[in-house]
Amino acid sequence: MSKWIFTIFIGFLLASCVKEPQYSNTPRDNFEALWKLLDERYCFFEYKKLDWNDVHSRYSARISNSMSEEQLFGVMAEMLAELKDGHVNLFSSFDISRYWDWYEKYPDNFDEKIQRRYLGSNYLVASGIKYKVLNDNVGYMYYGSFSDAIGDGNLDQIISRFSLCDGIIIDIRNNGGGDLTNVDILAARFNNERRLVGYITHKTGKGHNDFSNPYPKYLGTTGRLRYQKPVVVLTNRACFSSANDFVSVMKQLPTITIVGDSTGGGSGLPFSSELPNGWSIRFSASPMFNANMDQTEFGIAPDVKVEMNSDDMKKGVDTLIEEARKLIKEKSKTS
Amino acid sequence: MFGMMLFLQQLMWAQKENLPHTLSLNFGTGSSSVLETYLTPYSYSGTDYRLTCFSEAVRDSGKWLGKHELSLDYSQTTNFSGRGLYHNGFINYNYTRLRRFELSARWTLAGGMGGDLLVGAIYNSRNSNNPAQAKLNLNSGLSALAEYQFTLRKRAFSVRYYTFIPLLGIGFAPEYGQSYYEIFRLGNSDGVVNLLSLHNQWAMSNRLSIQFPCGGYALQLGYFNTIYQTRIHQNETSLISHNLTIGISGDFMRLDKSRR
Repeated sequence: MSKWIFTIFIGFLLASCVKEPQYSNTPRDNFEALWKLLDERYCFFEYKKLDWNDVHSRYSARISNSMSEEQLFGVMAEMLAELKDGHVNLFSSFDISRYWDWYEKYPDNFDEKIQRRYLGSNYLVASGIKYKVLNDNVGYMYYGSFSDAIGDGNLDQIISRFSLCDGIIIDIRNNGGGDLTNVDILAARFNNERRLVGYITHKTGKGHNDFSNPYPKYLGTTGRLRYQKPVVVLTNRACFSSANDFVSVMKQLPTITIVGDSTGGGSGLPFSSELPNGWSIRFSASPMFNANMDQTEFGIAPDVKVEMNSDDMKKGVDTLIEEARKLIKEKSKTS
Repeated sequence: MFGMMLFLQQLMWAQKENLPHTLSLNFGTGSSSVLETYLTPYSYSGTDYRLTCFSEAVRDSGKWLGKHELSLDYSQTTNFSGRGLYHNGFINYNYTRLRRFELSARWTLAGGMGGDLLVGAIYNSRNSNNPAQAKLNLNSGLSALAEYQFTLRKRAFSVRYYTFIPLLGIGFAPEYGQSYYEIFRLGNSDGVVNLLSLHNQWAMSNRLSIQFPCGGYALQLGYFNTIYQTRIHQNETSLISHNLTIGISGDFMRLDKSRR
């Protein structure tokens, strides 16, 4: 009997013992550590139908312990590009690997110089949002980064100023993301009821398909000023991560129209980790979906597809803003 | 709050019964080793600082010993390459009640049970949506104490060893790849409260100290070691610290009375 108790006790102890992975700081071990880390924690292998074992065999052959740090970084960066994910970056002291095809291979559909012609020099700025009433009584606001914290008082000021306008253009072109909290704060100003806007899951284990049940994301309302007239959100391929989530949320609201190009995507909430040599790695860890449980990792199509017209650009005209003004005028007449 | 109530009750009891009640304050510094795979797969090590306050009272003619312990622990640790930095901060409250056995004039042994609350976080200065791992663990466990008293050059010395081993409790832990955004902003708290026992937790604290009189008080020199390891949702945590400590202790309540 006492033998059994002893065995069970030792078994429990061994189960709870923590074993740290053993790696040395060689190119080979750093490569293996990177591959294993993503194998266990990256969240889009199945969705992207990527054979990660095959990736290992192709890139492992290029690793040798005599290679320099720069050479190792180069091979690793190429391997990470196989993930086709703007949220995947490797950070060393001399470079940051990145995958930017999601917007570099597409038209910009945004020109700051042309935008300046609309904003002029007398625009206002609150919470990182530039805003102005255009001469046809349409409110225009430009939010360039969801990393800029939005204050409720600032939004009250903006919406109050736009209250007599026929509608608002929310321009988030080239917004590369930031804090998801700002998505809810801004979107709640255009929402009148608690509404399902998406789902989130997370990995529950090291397997490529080990995910939790989707957990619903709801957009609440705010007791502060809410805007009820037509709103157009302008997008381009450089809208990524939180900006992509913002578009996904705004698409669920009845007064909103998305105009422009598809967003760049980036629906995986990124986590960070590191390699034995101290290089930091960022990767998508927790997938988010839209309200229909569709993936938005590769972007969200607009309601009205509009691209910058080269003739307009020569004249200093922003085709997307003009289309948005037209839509708002049409909608304000019918509403 | 519960710990504070127990402490005040112990204080009032000691005063009412005119029993010895010892308060100690110790400062320790040493090394810390931190592994938290929710943040990174590798160990970080560095310098540890610990401030500990004890309160002890003997009751029922010396049969029982009540012991409160409150520790504030901070360490700053770096990884092997020196490129990563953790800030680790914990508050640990421990209450135990031990049955004393005075085996001889020199030897005292005691054993008992108690509760342990650990609250704190490991913060990684360069992570994105997993910047920290919070700890909130409430455990019950076993405690033991051995004390040897002797005189040297007509001064009374005591050497003491004390240990506490958590056995059963509950603790907070996010799931394997779950973000704090999902838990706290979206409200998905399923699975974050976990049963702790020897199957997923191995922890203990060990304190060895020597105490000798110094003026109206006693000076304490010692070694304090803590081991805290868990494996929950396939995330592993290991916090190990070794501290050399120095402190002062005395029956402060009784000294107050004599001064009045």
